[in-house]
Amino acid sequence: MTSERRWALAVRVLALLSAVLVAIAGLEARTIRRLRSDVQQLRDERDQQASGVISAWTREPAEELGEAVRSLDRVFAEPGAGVGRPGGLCPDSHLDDQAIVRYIGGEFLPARAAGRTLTQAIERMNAAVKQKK
Amino acid sequence: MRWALAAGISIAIYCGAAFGTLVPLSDSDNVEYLFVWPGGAAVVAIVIVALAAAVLAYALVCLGVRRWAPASLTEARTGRWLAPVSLMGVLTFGILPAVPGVGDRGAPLAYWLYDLRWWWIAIIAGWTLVRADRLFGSPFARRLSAVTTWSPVTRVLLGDAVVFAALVAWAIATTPMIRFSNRTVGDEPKYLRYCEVLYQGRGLDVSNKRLLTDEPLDAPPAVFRNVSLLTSTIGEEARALAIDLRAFASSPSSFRWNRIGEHDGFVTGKRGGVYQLHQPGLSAVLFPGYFLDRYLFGIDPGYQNEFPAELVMTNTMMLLVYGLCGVALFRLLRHALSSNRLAALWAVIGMATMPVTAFAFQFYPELPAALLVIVVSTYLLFHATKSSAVAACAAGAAAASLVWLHPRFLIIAAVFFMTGIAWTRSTARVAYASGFIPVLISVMLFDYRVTGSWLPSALYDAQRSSEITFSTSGLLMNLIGYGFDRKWGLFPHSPLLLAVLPGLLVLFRERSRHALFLTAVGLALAIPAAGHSLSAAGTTPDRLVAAVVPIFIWPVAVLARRFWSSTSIRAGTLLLVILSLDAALAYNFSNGKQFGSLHDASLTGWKPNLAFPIIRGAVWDSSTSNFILFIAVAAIVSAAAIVAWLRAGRAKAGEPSAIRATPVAIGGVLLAAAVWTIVGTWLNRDWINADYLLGSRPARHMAAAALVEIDRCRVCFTSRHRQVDWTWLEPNPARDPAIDLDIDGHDVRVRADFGSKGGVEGFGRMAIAFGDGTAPVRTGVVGSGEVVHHYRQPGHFEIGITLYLRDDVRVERRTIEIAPHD
Repeated sequence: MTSERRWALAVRVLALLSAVLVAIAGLEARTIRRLRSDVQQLRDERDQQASGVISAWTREPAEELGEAVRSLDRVFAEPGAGVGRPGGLCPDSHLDDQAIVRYIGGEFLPARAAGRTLTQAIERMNAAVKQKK
Repeated sequence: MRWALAAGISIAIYCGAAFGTLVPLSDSDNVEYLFVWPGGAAVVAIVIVALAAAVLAYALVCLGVRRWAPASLTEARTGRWLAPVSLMGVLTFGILPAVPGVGDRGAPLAYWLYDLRWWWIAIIAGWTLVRADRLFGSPFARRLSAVTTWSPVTRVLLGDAVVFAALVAWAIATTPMIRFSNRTVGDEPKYLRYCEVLYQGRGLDVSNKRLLTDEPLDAPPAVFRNVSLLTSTIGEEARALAIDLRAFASSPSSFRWNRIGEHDGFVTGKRGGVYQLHQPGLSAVLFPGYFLDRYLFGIDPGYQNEFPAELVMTNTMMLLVYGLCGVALFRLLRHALSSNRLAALWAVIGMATMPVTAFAFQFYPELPAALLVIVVSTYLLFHATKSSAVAACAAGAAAASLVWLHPRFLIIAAVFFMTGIAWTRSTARVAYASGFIPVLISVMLFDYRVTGSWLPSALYDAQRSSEITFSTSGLLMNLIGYGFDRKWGLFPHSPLLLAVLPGLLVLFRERSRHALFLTAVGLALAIPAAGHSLSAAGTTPDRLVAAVVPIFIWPVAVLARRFWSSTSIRAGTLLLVILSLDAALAYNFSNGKQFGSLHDASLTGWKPNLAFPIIRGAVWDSSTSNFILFIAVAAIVSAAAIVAWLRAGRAKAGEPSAIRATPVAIGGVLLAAAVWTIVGTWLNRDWINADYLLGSRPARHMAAAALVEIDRCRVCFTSRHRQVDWTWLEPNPARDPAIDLDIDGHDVRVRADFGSKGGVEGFGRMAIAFGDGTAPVRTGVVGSGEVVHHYRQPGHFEIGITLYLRDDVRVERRTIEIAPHD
C-alpha cells in the first residue's frame, strides 16, 4: 500500500468515526434534554412540597402556636428535666431566636402539619429539646 | 570517563542545592532569604544516585554505540557528549540571595539561575540527547527529517495539527485558575449577555431579558426568532432612514443623527430598549458554545442569574479560536519563511507568549480579532495578486468583520480595505469590495438602529466625557509605554519582541512592501489603543494591542533566520524565547482574572520587568535614573536595529556546515544579559517586587517545614545570619501541643498537634520511643503530624514522647497494651 493510499484510508476512517461521533452526540443531546425536563419536574415537585408544608404552617392557630412557644420557654427554663437555663428563651434579656426556629419550625410545626395533635406535637418538640441538652 | 565523572559531580552539586530549600521571608519592609540544605544523609544519597546515573548513562551509550555505530565508539568513550551536563553545577549559584550579606541584591542573578532552572535543565537534557543521538548516526534526527518526504499537503496538515495541539495543551496546562471557569469580570458579562438575549430570541435588546431563575430548565430556545426580528428591523429602519433624510434635508445644521445617551455602559435605543456599548461580534463567536452550555449542560444559574453557572463550552470556543490563531499564524509564516518547520516553531512561540497567551480563557474580542488580522494579512500578503473571487470576497468580509468586534479595529479594517483594493486585481478587487462593504454596512445598520447615526463608532461616540474613548494628550507617552513600560509594556512581558524593530528593518531589506504593511497594521491598532489608555482598565497588559502582536513574530523570525549562523544571535534568541515563555507561564499560572498586571509566587522576587523603565506617573516625572534607563533600553534597541540594517545589506554568508557553539560568543551574550540585568535593576533600585514574590504565609510554612526536618542544621543560613536552625524562625505559636494515641490492632498512631494562631501554624520537633526496642523516631512537625508504628509482639509498652518546642522540652509517657491477634 503506497503512502498516499494509507493516508486516504486514514482520512476515510476518520470521516466515518466523526460521523458516528456526531450521531452519538445527537442522541446524547436528546437524552440530556429529557433529563433536564426530569430535573425541572423534580424541582417543581420540590417547590410544591415546600409551599404545601408552609401553607399547612400558616393554618396553625395563633393560640396553639403561642402555647407551643410558652412550652418551649418552660422547657428551656426548667431545671432538672429541662435545659435549666435562667431566662428560658430569653437568656441575658436577649431572645434566643435560633431556638424558636429550630424547635418550633423544625419540630412543632412539621408535627402539626403531619396531623399530630397539639399535645403530641408539643411533647415531640420538648423531647427534642431534652435530647439535645 | 572524565566527562562522565564531571557530569556526575555537577549533577550532585546542583541537586545538593536544588533538593534544599530556598525561601524568601518577607515583611512589609524587607526580605530575608533562607537556605536550608537537605541534610547530610540526603546529600550523600544524592551524590551516589547522581554519580550512578551519570555512569549508567555513559555505559548505556557506549554499549549502544559499540553495537549500532562502532565507528563512533572512541568518541563515545571520551564522554565529551556529556559536556552540557557539566554546566548544571553553575545553577547552584542560584542560592546567592541567601548567602549572608547578599540578600535581595542577588535576586536578579538568582532569577537567571534558580527561577529559570527548569528551562536550563530542559535545554541541557535536550542538548545532551542530541549529542548522544549523533553518536548513533542520528537515527532520531533522520526519523524526524523523514517528514520532508511526505507530500506538501500532508506536511501542512501535520503542521496545523502540531501547532493546534501544542497551543491547546499549553493553554490548558498553564491556566489552572481560569481554564473553563465561570468567573466573569470586567466587560466579559457584556459579551455573554448578548449570547443570552440571542438565545431568548430578543435580538440585541437586553432590556426585557428573562433571568434563568424565571425560566424552566427545559424551556425551548428561540434563536430563529432573531431572524424574523432582523427582517422586520431592516424594513423599519429603511422607513426611518427616509424620514431622517427628509428631516436632515430640511434642516441640516440642527438635525442630530446620534440621539442617544449612555449610562454606565448601557444606552437607551432611539426606539427604546436597552443596548450595550460593546459590539456583539465576540458574542457571535461565543454563541455556539454558549448555546450548548445553555441548552444542554448548565443546570444552575451563575452570574447575577443571567447566565449558566457552567460555561465550559463557551470557554471552549475561546480555546478553539486560540488554537486556530496558531494554525493561521503557521499558514502565514510558512509563506513568509518558506519553511514548514520554522513556521510551526515560530507560530507556537508567537502564540504561547504574552499577551495573546493570556486570552485563551478570557471573553474579550482580542483573540477573534487576532485571528481575523492574521487570516486577512496572509491573504493580502501572499494571495491577493492571484486569488479567486470567492477567496477575495471572504477576505473582504473577514476584514470588515473586525468592526463588529470593536470600534478600536476600525482603522485596521480601513488599512485592510485600502491594501486589498490596491493589491487585488479586476474581478478579485470587485469581490473583495463586495465582501467588505456589506459587512461594514451591517455594522452601520446596527449602529443606526440603536443610535440613529450611521457611523460605525456611533455607540462609543455616545459615551460621556468621563469615559475617554480617544485622547491625543497622552498618546505619545502611551505609545512608548506600550513598548517599554515595566507594568503594561510589551517588551518586559515578552522580551522577544525587542527584536521586532531590527527584524522589521531586515524584512524591509528583503521585502519592503511586507515590512511597510506590518508597520501600517501595527500602528493602525497601536494609535487608537494608545489614545484610549495604557492599562486597559487594569486587565491583562497590552490587551488593547494584543490582536496585532502575533504577526510581529514574523520579523523576529526573519531576523533570527538571517543571522542564524552567528552564535551570539542563536544564544540571544534562545535567551529571549526562554524569558518570554517564562513570563507567559508566570502570568498564566497566577492569572485569576484579578487586577491584570503580572503576579507570581517566585522565590527570588525579580523579573525582567524590573530592568525596564516606568513610563508615565510620578516616577517618570521625577526620576532621572528611570529616564536614563529608558534612554539606555531605547538606545540598545535602536543600535541593534541599525546593526541589523547594515549587516542585512551585506551578502549573506553561506550556511555553516555544522552549527558549533563558540564559547566566547555565548559568554558575550550572557555577559550582556548580566549587565542589562544588574545595571537596569540598579538604576531604579528595585531589586525585587512584592508582586513577584512568594507570599509571606506560604513562605514561612515552607521555611518551617524545611527547618524542622533537621535537628541541628549545619548548612542553613540566611542573608542576615550565618547559621540558623528551626528555633530561629518566628513567629512560632506552638505552646502546649496536644498528643493523641490511637491503637488499631498492632498499629499505634501517635498524633501531635502543635496548634496555630492567626493562621500561622506552630512547629517543632518530636521524638518517640515506642518501648519495644526499636530506635526512637525523630521528626519535625508543622501544625500537626502523626507517626504510625507497628508492634511485632503483643504486650504492655511504655511510649515516651518528647516534644521539642522553641523554648521548652515536654516529655510525656503513655502505657499501652497491644492485644494478641485474634
